[in-house]
Amino acid sequence: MSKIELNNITHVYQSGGEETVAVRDVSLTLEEGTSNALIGPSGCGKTTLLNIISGLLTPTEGEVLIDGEDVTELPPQDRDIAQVFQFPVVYDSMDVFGNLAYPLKNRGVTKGEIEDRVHETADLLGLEDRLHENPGGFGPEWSQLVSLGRGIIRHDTTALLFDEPMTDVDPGRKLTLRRRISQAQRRLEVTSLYVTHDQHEALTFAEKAAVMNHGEIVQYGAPENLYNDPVSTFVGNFIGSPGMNFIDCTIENGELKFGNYDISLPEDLRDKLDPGWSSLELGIRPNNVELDRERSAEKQIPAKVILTEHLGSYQIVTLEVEGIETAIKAERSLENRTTEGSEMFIGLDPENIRLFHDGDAIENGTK
Amino acid sequence: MKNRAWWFLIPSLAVMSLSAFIPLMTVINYAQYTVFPGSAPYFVGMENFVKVFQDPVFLGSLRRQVLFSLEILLIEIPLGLGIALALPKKGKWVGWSLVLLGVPLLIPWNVVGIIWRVFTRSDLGAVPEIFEWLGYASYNASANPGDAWWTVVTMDVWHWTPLVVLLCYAGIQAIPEEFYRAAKIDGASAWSRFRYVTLPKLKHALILAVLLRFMDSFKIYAEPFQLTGGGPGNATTFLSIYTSRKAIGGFNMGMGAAISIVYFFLVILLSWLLYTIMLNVGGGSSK
Amino acid sequence: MKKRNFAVWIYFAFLLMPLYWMLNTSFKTNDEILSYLHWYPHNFTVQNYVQIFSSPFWRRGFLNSIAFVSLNVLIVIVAAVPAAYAFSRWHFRGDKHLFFWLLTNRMAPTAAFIVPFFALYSNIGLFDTHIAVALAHALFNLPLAIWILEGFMSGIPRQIDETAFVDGYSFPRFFTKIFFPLISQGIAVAAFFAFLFSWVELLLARTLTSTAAKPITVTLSRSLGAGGWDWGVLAAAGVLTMIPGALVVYFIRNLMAKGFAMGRV
Repeated sequence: MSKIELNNITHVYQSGGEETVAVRDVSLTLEEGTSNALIGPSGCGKTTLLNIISGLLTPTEGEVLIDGEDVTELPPQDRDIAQVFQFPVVYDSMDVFGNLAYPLKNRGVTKGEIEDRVHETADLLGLEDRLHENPGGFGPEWSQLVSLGRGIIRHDTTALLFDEPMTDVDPGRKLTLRRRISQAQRRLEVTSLYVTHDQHEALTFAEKAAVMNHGEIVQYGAPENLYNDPVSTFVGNFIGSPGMNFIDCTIENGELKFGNYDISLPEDLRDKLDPGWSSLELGIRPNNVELDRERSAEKQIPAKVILTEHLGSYQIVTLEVEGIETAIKAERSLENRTTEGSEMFIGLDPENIRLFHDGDAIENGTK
Repeated sequence: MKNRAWWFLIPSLAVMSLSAFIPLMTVINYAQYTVFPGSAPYFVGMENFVKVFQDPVFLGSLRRQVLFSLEILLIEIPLGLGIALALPKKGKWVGWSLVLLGVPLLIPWNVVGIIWRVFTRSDLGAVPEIFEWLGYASYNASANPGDAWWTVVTMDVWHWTPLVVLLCYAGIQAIPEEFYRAAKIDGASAWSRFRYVTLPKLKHALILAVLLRFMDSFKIYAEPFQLTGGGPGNATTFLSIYTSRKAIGGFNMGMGAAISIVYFFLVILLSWLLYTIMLNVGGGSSK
Repeated sequence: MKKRNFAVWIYFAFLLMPLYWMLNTSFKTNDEILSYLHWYPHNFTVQNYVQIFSSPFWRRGFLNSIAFVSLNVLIVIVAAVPAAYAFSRWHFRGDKHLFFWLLTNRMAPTAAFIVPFFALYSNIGLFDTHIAVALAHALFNLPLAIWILEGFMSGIPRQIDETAFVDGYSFPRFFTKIFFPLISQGIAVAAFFAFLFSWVELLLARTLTSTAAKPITVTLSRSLGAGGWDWGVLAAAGVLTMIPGALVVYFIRNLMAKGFAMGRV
């Protein structure tokens, strides 16, 4: 369990005569023992960044430090990093015991201690009953556990890196595997980095998540932070499903105007606004949009339901408001479910509104 | 729906009946008779088969054949695997290496025999000269049984090792790089990586290579025939040379047929044995 | 790394030497061949090649070989593709046994079959024809082709077939438009092996032909007969028989490298 620091990492790929900047001046610190996630759309550079941390790639610029030591040039095996790959990597000529023992055997650990540690790790991961089976016949979710086992069995592992480990796993089994990974990470307090494009996976596993886009880390923080206080419209849209609603608005006399409506803003926020600004966006999460069949003081804005989607225990309702171009999404519980064509009333609580100018969040005092 | 499958098989079954089934039935039929040209076939049942196993020339050929095939396997498989491991995986040399490896495989087998005959004859070839230079002046593939034997073996190694190389090479290319990375992360030495990643993943390629080489070496005919004619004496008379001599040159076609059946049966039996053994060695999944 | 490359170079030199010697011999006169042992022709001559090209005897031999080899590849592929599809997609009674029986034919020692082949083909009047040899070679080429193609086809998920049928494709259309392009690499590999084993085979080719369809392999073996050893011509003919093979490999070398990288063995 070590602290990992990335300082001004830039990585450029050369192919033919063309250059692609995969990672752009990224600096990040993963604290000891923390579980972290790295998420972003395809092609944002997260796999490149992971490979730089693990040592499979040497960055064009910048340095990687593990516990303060510069390891930028060192290969993976010298960094004591453990990695779980996209598809299960198991040695199918050995049984599970042999697989788990392999990293220890190669380092000359004594037989007795190997025995102890294998049982310890197998216990933690739920593999005790399968120790003498051959992983070649396992489903991917079990094989990934064996892979993980090999990573954590060495007590000197500096960090655990996951590169989209659920790719091959059946949706029905992902939950169990995810749970075991979380358990292992928490018990052993190993610094971890989990790369995925599935934010739900990332946000349930990690204490902190970094969102990447076009080679840059856009925001790094606890999941609630990313959710409630996104630093840009990109993050607001990317995090959450569905993402944040964005409504174009303007400022007039210290009030926020959108369509035919206005909302008065809290004082501290008002001070940060420049009336000269033009491209302002109002962001609000669907679950914070208040919705009701009847008009009330808080819910004044008439809207019409144009689409309903059922998501298990709740509905996503898409509404059209006169004067506002973009449709607004809101959530509705199943008991209160509504149908297409219904007329309803929306309310937006200023506490839940986030403002963005040119795509960047305007800080308000409620952070 | 399932019967549709049989429609798809009709072309193949038709071809095989002409090239396999009917000839096989004919041979099985003949084998139970004593057949001399000119006179009526005379049913003898299994007598021919018994006589086959009592013939010392047959047994000698069989012994030689088994020895030959074993030596071939012991040389060609490790050598082929070794070369495959040493070949570059990417880059411009790959294409040319594959071409060079392919050429010996695409030469008509009797031409292979001719090439080696020219190469090793005392009056025509470079080999006797090379041996003389190395200190072995009495190399003579037509007169010395020992020289003949090892020349035939070397010729086969030259001819067929490329097949082993190609099969292993294909298998090696199929191994994803992540397995080696994971092994390095696990602290494995180069030998350990070979033993636990490369070798298990080459299992199928190696099985195929061993089976093909065993079957084909057991049936070998044209190359040794061109090189030594089976001699000197019987030194390089393998089973197929013996069989064709008896079948064509011999007077009793029934006997020739019996020998053919025994021969075929031996190949199948030994191949099946080899296959079963290899499948169970080293554990792991199979398909 | 250096040691590795050295070993490979030595091996390649080993492969090239006999070929070089053959090439060397083919450009010498018989006199030079028998009297001296020169590492390169001191009296370079193309006389041997001229003799071959101007002789209908040799020319016909080459053409015959090409004829039945091509015929064989055609027959084998046409029969193997549907058969492999059946084995790969459907389970039917006896399928495993049939498959195994097919494979055992690969093990057949051709020496064991010359008499029945001779009898059979003479009886049906196909003796000394290209089609006879093409069919006879199918004995071992067809099982191998089915085995190879079945492997490739099994690598293609059934969903593709099912989706196409759901989308309303008729079977022929599905096969030509969708399936065939996917297995084209497999067909190339199977065709390659069929070509390989048919081109090089001697025993059956010799047994089933006499004059009309006599392949080059037989012509070569016959010329080692009475009338002295015309080593120069023999060497030249040998070199010529290597050329089609070398050409084939040269043209598909990139395909091979790619196919190997895809890795389906």
